[in-house]
Amino acid sequence: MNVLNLAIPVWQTLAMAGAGTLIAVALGAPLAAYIAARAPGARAIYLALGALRAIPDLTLAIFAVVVVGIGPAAGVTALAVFYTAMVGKMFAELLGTVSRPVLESLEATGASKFSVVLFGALPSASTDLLTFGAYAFECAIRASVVVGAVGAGGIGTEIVGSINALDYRRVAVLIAVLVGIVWVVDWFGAQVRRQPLLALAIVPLGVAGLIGSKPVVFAAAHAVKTFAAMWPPVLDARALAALPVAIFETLEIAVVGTGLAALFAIQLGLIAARRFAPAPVAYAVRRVLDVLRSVPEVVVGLILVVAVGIGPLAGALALGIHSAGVLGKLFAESVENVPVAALDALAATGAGSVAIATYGGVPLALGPIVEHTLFRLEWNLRTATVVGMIGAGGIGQALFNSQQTFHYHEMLAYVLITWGFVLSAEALGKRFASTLAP
Amino acid sequence: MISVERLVVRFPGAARAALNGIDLDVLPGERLAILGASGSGKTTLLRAIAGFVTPVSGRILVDGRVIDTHDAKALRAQRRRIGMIAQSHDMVERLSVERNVLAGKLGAWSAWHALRALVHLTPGERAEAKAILERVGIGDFGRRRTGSLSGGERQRVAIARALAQNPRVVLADEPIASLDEDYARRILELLCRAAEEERVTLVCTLHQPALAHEFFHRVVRLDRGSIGESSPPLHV
Repeated sequence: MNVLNLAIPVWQTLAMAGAGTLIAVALGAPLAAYIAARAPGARAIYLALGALRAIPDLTLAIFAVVVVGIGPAAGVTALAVFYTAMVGKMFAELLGTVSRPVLESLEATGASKFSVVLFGALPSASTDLLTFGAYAFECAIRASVVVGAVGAGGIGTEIVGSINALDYRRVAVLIAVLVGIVWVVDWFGAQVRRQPLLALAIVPLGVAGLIGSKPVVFAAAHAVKTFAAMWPPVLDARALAALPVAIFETLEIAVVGTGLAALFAIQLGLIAARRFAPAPVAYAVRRVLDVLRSVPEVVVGLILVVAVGIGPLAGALALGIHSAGVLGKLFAESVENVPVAALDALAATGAGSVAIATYGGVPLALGPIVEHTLFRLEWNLRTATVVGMIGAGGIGQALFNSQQTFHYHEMLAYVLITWGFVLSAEALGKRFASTLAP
Repeated sequence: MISVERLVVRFPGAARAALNGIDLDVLPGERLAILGASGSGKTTLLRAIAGFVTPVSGRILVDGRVIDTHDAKALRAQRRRIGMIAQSHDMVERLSVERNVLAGKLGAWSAWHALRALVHLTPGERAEAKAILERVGIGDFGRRRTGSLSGGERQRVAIARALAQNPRVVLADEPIASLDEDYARRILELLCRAAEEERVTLVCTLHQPALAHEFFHRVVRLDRGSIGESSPPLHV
């Protein structure tokens, strides 16, 4: 395969993520300042950002592909909307953590709330803001592959095209490139945590990406017209009857996927933890977990749909494989945080590594392990609506089908249903977490 | 200059009132020291004068105008005339010393002005900050990062910030806490000289009776939220 063939999708993916992050920070930061200043309506804006964030990025991307048209502009729009909500909410929270006496001493000069936020909270929280900006970019890279899968360009579009063309060698190369990009971006994130100003390197990338993807403002009239044509959302009798099954399938994908992930992650996590397995084995397993984590669920799903066929099983396995990587790393960290004295006491009885891990490591780390799993379940309920789109069933597939067949009233209805589904999952998760908390 | 009338402050859930019927008049240009043990209500009294605490009853007048915590706009106008110096940990540590000094002008600046000053200071602003820093003895500290300063140096920056504000009243809350006696004396000298030169009314809380009697016109003692003994007012 020729290198130029790869360079364009790689550039598109980076540019989409950069441009999306840049717009998100440009819009999210002033919103966050407004919220932090507790200006009129700040609470409502904060809640609205939280609600907007609940629409999965791929759902937004499908929507954006229809409204903005196929190509990177749609991807940038979807990422910008999703990440504006995320950045705005998180920046507001970070600005809210600045110590009270500092802000009060500025208020004491008679300064307005905005001046206090700008002159006091902004510089005080600058390190955290830059670090989070880089983290948002890391997430946007993965998301830009995901939105690419529905026609927004970049590596995602290439992967889908290669799968459809049955060119599995190219699929393998693209996935290897993707893993490489994710690693480089992870490394970049680690550098930013050490030297926060490095985060500003995203700005030129974002500007270049914006110029390259042709800002959506030019298509605003078209977008408004298309959106108006979608209104009102309608489900016909057939779709309505199928809805409970679709919702059940989505739940099934999330629960089975998370269960499988936890099952494998507990074993991989114990091996990866710096304590039980020989160092080279632990190192190798940690790298395997890195690979599992860096391939987004949707990409895993695309491969599995080919391997095991269309249906909820492919979706559940896709979530399971990606989540095993995430949970494995978290479980390993939880086990490493267990008090060493307790494990040493077991070792003193002459117990072997496996026995110490099962009788000491797991029970002592059970609290965080359960917590991580439940948090992942909540995350997967959101993602299950997304992997459906690649043929894994559930609400996602219904949404994707309605887009492909130009049933835009139905599509809008599914977008709203997905939104409601994720919001309910989040509310349930919060409820559950508060009953679990000591 | 400052009139505190039958002031009662009670915090939610507290067993007793933090301030229990305080009556206090401070004359223009007077330097008043408030002594008292920890928890006696010294800080609460200063915070009430600056409008950070809403009293249950009673009222406070500064320059003949009532401090009304429910009227944000009027309160901001009042605060512009009141400089506040708290213990040294209230600086924006990531900003340069000169920006922390100029923060005293934040009440007079628009939000845009604040944003611009965050990115770029004009030569005029730089010169102004330097002139004020020279008065407190750290003229060449302007470009330093505030987080890198010692406790005593920060206290000088806090005084400089209050001076940049051009206030009529300065409220200083234990400005010499955690400083050794020699340095504490120098800070008090600085503070009192600046108050004298600017004809500013100074109210300062302290723990050291000897220093209070040496540097201030009048000393009052707060005891569990009430005014205890008070030295006779001097002619100012």
